[in-house]
Amino acid sequence: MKRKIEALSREEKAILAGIRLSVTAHLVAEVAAVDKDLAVLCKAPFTLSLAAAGVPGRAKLICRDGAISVWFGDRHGDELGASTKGAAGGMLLFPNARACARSLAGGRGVIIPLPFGIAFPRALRFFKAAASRAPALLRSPDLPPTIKARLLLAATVHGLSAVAGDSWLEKRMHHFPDGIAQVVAGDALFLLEKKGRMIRVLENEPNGRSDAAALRIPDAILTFSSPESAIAVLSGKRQAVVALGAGEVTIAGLLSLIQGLFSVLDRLSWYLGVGVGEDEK
Amino acid sequence: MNASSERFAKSQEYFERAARVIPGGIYGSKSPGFLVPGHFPYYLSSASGCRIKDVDGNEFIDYLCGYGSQIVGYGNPEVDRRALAQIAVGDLLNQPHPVMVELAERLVGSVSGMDWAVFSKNGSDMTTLATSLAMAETGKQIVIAAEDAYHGATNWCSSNVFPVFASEEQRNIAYFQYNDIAGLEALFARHRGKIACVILTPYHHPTFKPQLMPSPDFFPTVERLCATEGAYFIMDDIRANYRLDAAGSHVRFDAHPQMVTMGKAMANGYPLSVLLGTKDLAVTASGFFITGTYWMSGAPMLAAMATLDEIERLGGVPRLEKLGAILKEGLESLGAAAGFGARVSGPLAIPYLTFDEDPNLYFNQRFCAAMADRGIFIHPHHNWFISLALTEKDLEITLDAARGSFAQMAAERQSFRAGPPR
Repeated sequence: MKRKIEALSREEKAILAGIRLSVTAHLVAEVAAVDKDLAVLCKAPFTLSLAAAGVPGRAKLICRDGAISVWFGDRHGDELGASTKGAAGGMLLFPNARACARSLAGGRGVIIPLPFGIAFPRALRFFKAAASRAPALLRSPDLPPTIKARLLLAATVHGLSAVAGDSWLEKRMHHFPDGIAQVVAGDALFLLEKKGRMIRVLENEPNGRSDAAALRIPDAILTFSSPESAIAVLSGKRQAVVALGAGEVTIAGLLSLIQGLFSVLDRLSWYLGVGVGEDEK
Repeated sequence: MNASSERFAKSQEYFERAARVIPGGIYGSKSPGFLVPGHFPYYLSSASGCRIKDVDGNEFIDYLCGYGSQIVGYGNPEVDRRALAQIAVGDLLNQPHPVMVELAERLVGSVSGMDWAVFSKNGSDMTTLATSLAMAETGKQIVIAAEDAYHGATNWCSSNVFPVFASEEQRNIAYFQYNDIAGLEALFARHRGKIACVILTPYHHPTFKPQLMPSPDFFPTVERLCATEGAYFIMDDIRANYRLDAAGSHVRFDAHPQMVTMGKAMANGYPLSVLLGTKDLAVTASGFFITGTYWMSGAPMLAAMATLDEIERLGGVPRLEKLGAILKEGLESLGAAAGFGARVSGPLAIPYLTFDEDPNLYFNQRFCAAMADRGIFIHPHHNWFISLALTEKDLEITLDAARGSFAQMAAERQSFRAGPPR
């Protein structure tokens, strides 16, 4: 049964908007790393926040040294250190969770631009280009499977992180063990740390923060046998359970951790299936 | 197609078909992900004694025994003869078959401390009935259980954790760590005057973890606290019954529950479970509407009678433990020789292997996969069961396979991407 955003509680709407904010910001950053046209727009530094009124989480894009980093969390969290001089951009503020979910799902919606500094125009130029490029790239048959798998995987792991605080999952999150899960598809490798009610994507790559937890041996590993299998599962074309049975996905280590993450993934899918309005695409 | 998928081609074909019409393809504890996909079959077609055969024709020596049910071996001729004879003349009738009386008499006579018996089909039926009876009898609602213990798949005790199920019933379950006497005392203090019962397994058999035997003080403490509170002590013997003591696993630990649930091995695979209780609960039990369409079918009860005879004839618990000891000693010493901290925990007849150096079970998965490749079906995440159909020759074959599997793991150890760095 497809649920509409109007039927969601206030908390659920905020979770949905948070998922969209996080997934969009991370996807945009991933796309910028592989798209030459976008790379040109990242030459000068900028920052850009994405937020929605009534939604505790917000995303911040930080362009530095030609690369985009993303921070996602509540307003009082760490924001990846100080901004580079002249990088102050601004914020794109959605008036409410519904407008946020709708706009970031590709529909029309009100966005309030709030410039804070001179870098705002280039930040906005980048975001508009990247936000439209990401879905086009994912749909493109010419996109190499390794890149497509990485983009989908990035969207998924950051979606998991954003949905974990949902109160629907509270008991379930308590029910499965804490630990670090490694997810691999081709060259793409992500580490997720589940701790209590939180899921955090650990930065383990040279352009990200160094993270002590990322150096630990993972407690569980989920491996897609090929980028193609990752694409099929993550885009919903192949049931994960069938892929598992066919050996296209393997799981090892602390299975209860992976099984628990699957239940969080189910909740993420539920949110992503919510109808956000007549303009939804 | 690689070698392993060729080996299980039909299993995979069935699974693909299943996934189109059955949620998850195979659900629950039999789902492929619970084993090691690529090394285990998904569909089995036949079995005999301690051997099972899959749809692709691969044969395995089996240490799962239909999740414990096959205590005297698959297709035990005597059990099947008596059950099938009844099926031929009518199994599920309007009224019970007289064997129900005979079986109840036999169980009440053999299970220590019990005065009455009621029958159903699954463990969940009986654990739910037992806790309900305790609540009705005491007028209290709190049920105390051990964390990670398995008492069934109904909402009050299952891992289906959804907020919508957070009913009064689910909120009334209070958990403590098995063997944690201080934790249990604290729970009794916190819920004083509200506790209906404590439900425990005779030993702790959590999934994904080593098994744990009860400490000497554990059951005496449970009994003392229950007596003071006026709460009932329920022994959930579904998984272990007949493998620790013919008179009930509680006898093994000198425990004295007021209710005992049994299932699994009761009828060697024919569907049957039982709740046994003490005299003081009989009136309340007789006032309960206890029923299910299939609960009084006669053939499983005849199978249960035959199973008891066969267990006795084949040597019972001493024989199971002799076989289990050979397996335990063999696996532990072969593991040590190969440089692994292989440890078999739990009762000898219900063993489970873990590796001291790897709590995340990477080694379990590798070892069990290697054993399955060699025709031995042992589970990486669930305890195993010894059957009276197993022979010393089967164990010899099993330990030969284990030697090869440990050697393979030792050779691959350097290439392990995960697991402890050694």
